[in-house]
Amino acid sequence: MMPVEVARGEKQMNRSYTIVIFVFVVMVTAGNLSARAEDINIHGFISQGYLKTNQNNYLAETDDGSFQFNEMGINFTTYVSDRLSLGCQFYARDLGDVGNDEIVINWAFAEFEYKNWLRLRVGTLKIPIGLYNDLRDFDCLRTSIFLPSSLYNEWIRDAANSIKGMEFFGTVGMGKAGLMEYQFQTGAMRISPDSGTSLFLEKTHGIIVSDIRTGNANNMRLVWTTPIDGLRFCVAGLHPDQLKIIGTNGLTIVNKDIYTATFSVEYALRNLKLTAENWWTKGKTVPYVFGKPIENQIINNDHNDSFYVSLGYRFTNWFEASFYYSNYIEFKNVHEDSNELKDHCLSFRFDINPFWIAKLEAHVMEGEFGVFPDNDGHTYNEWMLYAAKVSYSF
Amino acid sequence: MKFKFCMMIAVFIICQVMIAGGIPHAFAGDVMIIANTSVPVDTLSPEDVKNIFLGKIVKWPNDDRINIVLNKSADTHKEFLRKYIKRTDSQFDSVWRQNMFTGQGRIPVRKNTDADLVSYVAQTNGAVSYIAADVKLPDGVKILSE
Repeated sequence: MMPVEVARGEKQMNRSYTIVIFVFVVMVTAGNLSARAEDINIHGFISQGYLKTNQNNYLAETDDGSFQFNEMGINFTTYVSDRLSLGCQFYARDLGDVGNDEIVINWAFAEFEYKNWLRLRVGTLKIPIGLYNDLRDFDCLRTSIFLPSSLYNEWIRDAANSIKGMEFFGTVGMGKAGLMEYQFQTGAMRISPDSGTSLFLEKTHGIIVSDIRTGNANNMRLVWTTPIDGLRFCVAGLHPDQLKIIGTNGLTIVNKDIYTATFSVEYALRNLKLTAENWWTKGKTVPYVFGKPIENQIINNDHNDSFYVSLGYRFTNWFEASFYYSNYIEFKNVHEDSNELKDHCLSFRFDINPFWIAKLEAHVMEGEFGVFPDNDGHTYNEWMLYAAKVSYSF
Repeated sequence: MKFKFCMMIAVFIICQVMIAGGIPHAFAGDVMIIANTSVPVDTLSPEDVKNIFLGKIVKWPNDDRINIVLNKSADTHKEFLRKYIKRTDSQFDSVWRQNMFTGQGRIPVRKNTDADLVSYVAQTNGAVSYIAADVKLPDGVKILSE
C-alpha cells in the first residue's frame, strides 16, 4: 500500500498547485469580466466547507473533522449567432478521497435554438434527474449544503452526473394549462474508475475497481409549471443499457435492466418553498467471479421507498432556513442498518453580499448507508453530522 | 433523540413565524412592459411576460432572439416582480443564476437609469424590458399591452 500512498501524496501536492493556479486564473478572469461581457460570459464559483460527525465517518474523515470538502468551477458561454451558442464549464471538487480537486469538464455543449419548443444541444450534458441533479454542483443555488441523499446520494453522484451525447429540449405553452418543459437526451454515460462510486464499492464490498464500462443511456425529464402560481410537477427517467464494474480480483458486477425514475412536486410562493420528491429504481445486479455468475447473490431490486420532503423560508434578504426529512433505502426487503439512511436536516443560509454566502447545517441521522467505522472501529446507527460552508460566486 | 425533538420544535416555531410574518411591500406605482419596435408582437399576456423574464421563452414568434433588459431601479423592479413574476428578488436572481451556471441562459443586461434603459432598448433588436408608467419613451421603443 505504501507506494500507492506515496504516489497519492505526490498527486495531492500537484493538485494543490493546480488549485492555486486555478483560483488565480478565476480571480484575474473575474476582474476582466466587464471588458468581455458582450462577447463571452464568464462566471464562476468557489466553495470551502467543513464536516464533522459525533461518531462514524461519513464521506470523509469526519470523526476528526475534515476540510476535505470544496468545489470550484468556471464557465464560459457565448452566442456565435442568433441561433447558436457555445459553452463549457471546468469544475473541480474534493470530498474526502473523491475528486481530489482534479479539474474536469463539467459540461460543454453547442446549442442550437430552432424554436422555443425545439432546441438541440450536443456535447457533455448534465443528466436531468429529479428537480435538482443538474444543479447540485452549485452551492449558491440552494439553502442546504447537502441535497437530500434519498435522491441525491453523494456516494453515487458520479454515476448520474453527465453523458456525452445529444439532447432535444424545449418549452411548450399550453395556454390555461400552464407550461411544459421537456428534455430528451441520449448518449454515453461516463463513470470514472476514480469516481466516488468506485471508492464506495471498494470500501463496502472490497472491490478494487479497475474499469467501469457503461453503455448508452436514454434520459428524459418533463416539468409542468401549472397555472397555480409557484406550483410545478416533474417526472424524470434514466435508463442506461447496463453498468459493468470490473474489479482487479476477478470479480465483476453487472447491473442490467436499470430503470430509474423520480416524481417531484415543488410549491414556491414568495418566500416559502415546499418540495417533495420520490425515487423509484429497478434493476438486476449480477456478480461474476472469473466470468461465472454467483447465483445466490443475484439481486433483483424494484422499489420506490426513497423520498424526501422539504420546507424552506427566506426570512430576510440575507437569511433563509430550510428543513428536510430524507429516507434512503438501497435494496428493498433488506433490513440492515447499512441498507438505509434517514436524515433530518436543518440548514441556515446567510447571504453576506451578492457574491458571498455562508451556511450552517446539522443532520440527525438514523442508518448506516455510506457510513464507515470511526476512530474506535465501530459504526453507530444514530449519529450526527455537522457541516459549514462558505462560497463565493460571480 | 433529544436533539431531533429540538429540531422539530425549531421547525414548528419557524412555521409559526412564517404564518404570522411577511415581507412588507412598498407600492411604487405602475410599471409597463416596453420593447424595441422590431419585436413582432404588440401585446404580451402576464403569463408570457413571466415566462420570458424567467428565461423559459427565448424567441419571439418570428424566431428572433429575445434580449431581456432588467431595470435596476429598486422600486420599479420590485413592482415588476410583484405584478408579473410573482417571485421575490432572491428567487428571481436564483433562477438566472441557475441558467447561468448550467449554460442555459445568459445573465440579462441590467441598466441603472431609465434613460440608459430606454436608450438600450431602442438600439437593440428583440429587446424587452419594463419601466415606470410615467417615463417618456423615445422613438424605437413601444409599449406592449396585456
